[in-house]
Amino acid sequence: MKTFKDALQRLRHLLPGERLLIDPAHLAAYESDGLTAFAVTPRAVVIAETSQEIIETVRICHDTGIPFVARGSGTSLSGGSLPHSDGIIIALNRMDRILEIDPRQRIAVVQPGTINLAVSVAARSHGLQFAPDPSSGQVCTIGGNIAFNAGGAHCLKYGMTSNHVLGIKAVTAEGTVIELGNRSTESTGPDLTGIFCGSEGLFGIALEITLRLVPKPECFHTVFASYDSLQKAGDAVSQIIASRMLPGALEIMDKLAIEAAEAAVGAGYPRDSEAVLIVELEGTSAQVEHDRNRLSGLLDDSGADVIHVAGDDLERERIWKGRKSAFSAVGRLSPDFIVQDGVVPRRLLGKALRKIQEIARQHKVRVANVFHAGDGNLHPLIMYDGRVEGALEQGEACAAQIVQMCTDMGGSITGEHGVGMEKRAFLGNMYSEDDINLMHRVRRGFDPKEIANRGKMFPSGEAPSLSLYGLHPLEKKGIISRE
Amino acid sequence: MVIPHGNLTKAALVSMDADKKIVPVDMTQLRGILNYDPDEFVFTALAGTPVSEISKTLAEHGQFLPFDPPFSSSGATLGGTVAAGLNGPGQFRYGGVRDFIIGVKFIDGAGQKLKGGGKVVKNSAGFDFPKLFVGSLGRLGILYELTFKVFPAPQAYMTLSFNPGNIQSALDTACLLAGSSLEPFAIDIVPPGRLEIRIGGNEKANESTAGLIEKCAGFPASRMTGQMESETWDKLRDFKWAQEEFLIKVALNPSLLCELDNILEKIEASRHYSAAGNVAYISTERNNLLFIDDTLKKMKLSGVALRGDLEYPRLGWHPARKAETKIQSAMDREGKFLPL
Ligand SMILES: Cc1cc2nc3c(=O)[nH]c(=O)nc-3n(C[C@H](O)[C@H](O)[C@H](O)COP(=O)(O)OP(=O)(O)OC[C@H]3O[C@@H](n4cnc5c(N)ncnc54)[C@H](O)[C@@H]3O)c2cc1C
Repeated sequence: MKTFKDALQRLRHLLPGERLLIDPAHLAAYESDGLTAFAVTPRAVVIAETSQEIIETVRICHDTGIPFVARGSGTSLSGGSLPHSDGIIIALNRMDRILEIDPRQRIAVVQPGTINLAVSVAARSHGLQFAPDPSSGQVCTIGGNIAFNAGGAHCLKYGMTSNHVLGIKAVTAEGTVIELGNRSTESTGPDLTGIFCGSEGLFGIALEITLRLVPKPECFHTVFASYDSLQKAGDAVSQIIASRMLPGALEIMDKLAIEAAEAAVGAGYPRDSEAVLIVELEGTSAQVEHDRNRLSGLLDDSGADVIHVAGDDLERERIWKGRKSAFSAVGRLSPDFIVQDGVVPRRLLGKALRKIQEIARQHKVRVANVFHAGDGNLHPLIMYDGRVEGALEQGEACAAQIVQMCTDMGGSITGEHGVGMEKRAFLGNMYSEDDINLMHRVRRGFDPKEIANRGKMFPSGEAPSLSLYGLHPLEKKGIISRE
Repeated sequence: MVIPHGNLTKAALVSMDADKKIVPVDMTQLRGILNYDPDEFVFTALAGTPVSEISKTLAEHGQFLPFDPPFSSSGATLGGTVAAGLNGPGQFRYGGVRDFIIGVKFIDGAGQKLKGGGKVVKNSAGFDFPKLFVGSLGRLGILYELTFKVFPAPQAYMTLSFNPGNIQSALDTACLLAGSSLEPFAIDIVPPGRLEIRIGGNEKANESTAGLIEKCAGFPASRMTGQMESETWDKLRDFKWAQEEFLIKVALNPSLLCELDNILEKIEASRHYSAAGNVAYISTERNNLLFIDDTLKKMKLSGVALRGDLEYPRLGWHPARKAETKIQSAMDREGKFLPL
């Protein structure tokens, strides 16, 4: 393809050879992201070290019409960083500098490849932290967090990534540098920072991000309670919410997830229970002191078998390690699994979980459940063995039915992992054709050639894409493959 | 062209032209709470609903709008609050209107009904139009239905007044408390040098937090609770102190506060700072407008007039204008709304 050759030639002028990968052996590392069922080989990978290189690369792509995908750490669970087979990957993981921490204003200015956890580590000595804490925080990047509006275990109280981003300097897919927001928690004019967050990389690439930092709570009170039914754990959550407390986190894990987490890290959850509820109170010691007595009363009356309060920071960390390792721990129970992400109104959690078990039985798959119970965000982990013919398809069919269930209940197709590749077919469950057309128009305002993350988020039409069911035409031709 | 409006508490945003080419769309009759589910922390209301009505309903269930909407006793509507992008002093604790809006329905220039976001507290599907509409100044579409996340309200409040005497020390103390783990609800600075700190929670807890706040600040405060306390903040939220024709909001940051304050002092403009120095409100006469606009531009600060008769309400520095124009032309192909 001539245009690609043109683009390559211009990229060679821009970058040293070791940062422009075209050798298939090198490209292989970029074929997949956290949604490992899909793999696509890009034509080239640009490893950027400066904003200027990113801007120039994007301009070359725009001039030649070559699609590009920005990539942070490639941990997207919805195929967000899956390459385009005619396009290039712009790898941002070397753009990982924290440019500024201003403790007085409580802000951090970072490059997009900065690791999520690194921000909190850098802010720690000032008694501050970056609130969004996805389980992948040790590896995922702020750029990826922004694109997918990543969440974590503390969203009910603190919100998502976008609630902690004050300003973004970005290059649009057209190659124009734009500055959105500022260094203030206030703004005037429409909140463009807000819509850039969660735009799934379809507007362009974030180059520099101003983050809001919050003081670390003075004290924590972390408890887990185990139950002989999921329903009881769910009811306990409703009781806590109704009591006017605002816990920092409310998490539930089911039997399979408990088993997996115990095998992986030994967090101390009772293995024979059907459900574990983790509640974390945080705040000033006076307020926590007051709330912990109420919480203790509520849990005592909730029919819990075991109630355990973390005695110190180490124990608190262990409780969280168990929860945060649950995704990867399920790898011990099954060679492959799909991490599903959906939201239902909180009061319907119990019903949703029963329905998921039913759906799983119907498709003859095992499903482990971990969820952010405080905000109704489910994460069913659907297990399958990719070596068995038809197993992936069965898992996907199960996943699809769960997504459908979420919107039938008035919830969302994704709480925090984004639509990406995986859920494009379901965007229409939530939005009308007119709504989606508006999204198209806004995207084209920044990306008239639709080169940024082409083929993602939108239901269909703009590029050949993988379907969730059966073989994709490109797979049949052997151009792309699933692993 | 059309300009939607509520009860005109932010009249500067509703420009009326002499030759009546701009058609005002009065939203105040489109009112009412459509759905409120205390257990879900979520409500949906029509855009013309007064925020005071919403606050009252929420309070019956021990909940509140944590961004503390301004002008509520003057009749501010929910839609107007979102379009103006206004937060009250209480935003310091849990965030502003952008942090609590989760769903919008609106009419575009072609008369189509559109929507963005959803009705559950967590949702990352599709572009975040609810946030985009915050500060949209009635120029991206007509909001008609809004969904918000809410929180349980603190059981009681207490206000601590400090009087360090000058703006620099008031700001220093404000920053110290803002970065502490004492979780104040509001940190307001009243020139020439007073500091108002609001805390909330269980009454007993408030007492002990108040002690810690005084210790952190390094000097004693006068304390206020009960009705007098809440009235103090009601007045602030309604800008009772702002007597001049124009009321201007400036998105500020603490590093620039003293410099701006010195300039405003020289022109004798009344002013108030909220959210630990993240926002300034200026009350001034017309003859200062050009100077303030110019000052903001030089300091790279953005502002918007809320009250006063102006053809175009925005002042100061707006680096995102290019991007705003892109979005506006994508959303309003018919050019039915005023340019941003
Ligand atoms: C074990 C595990 C646990 C996880 N737990 C959570 C969780 O608790 N909560 C949660 O929300 N997610 C979770 N995730 C999902 C994932 O980590 C997040 O979506 C994360 O934000 C992705 O970051 P990344 O750096 O890996 O981005 P990538 O996967 O590299 O990219 C994701 C998307 O962002 C775009 N992008 C990347 N950088 C930029 C940029 N600078 N500008 C514009 N677009 C950009 C990419 O094009 C792509 O579309 C988990 C994933 C794993 C594997």
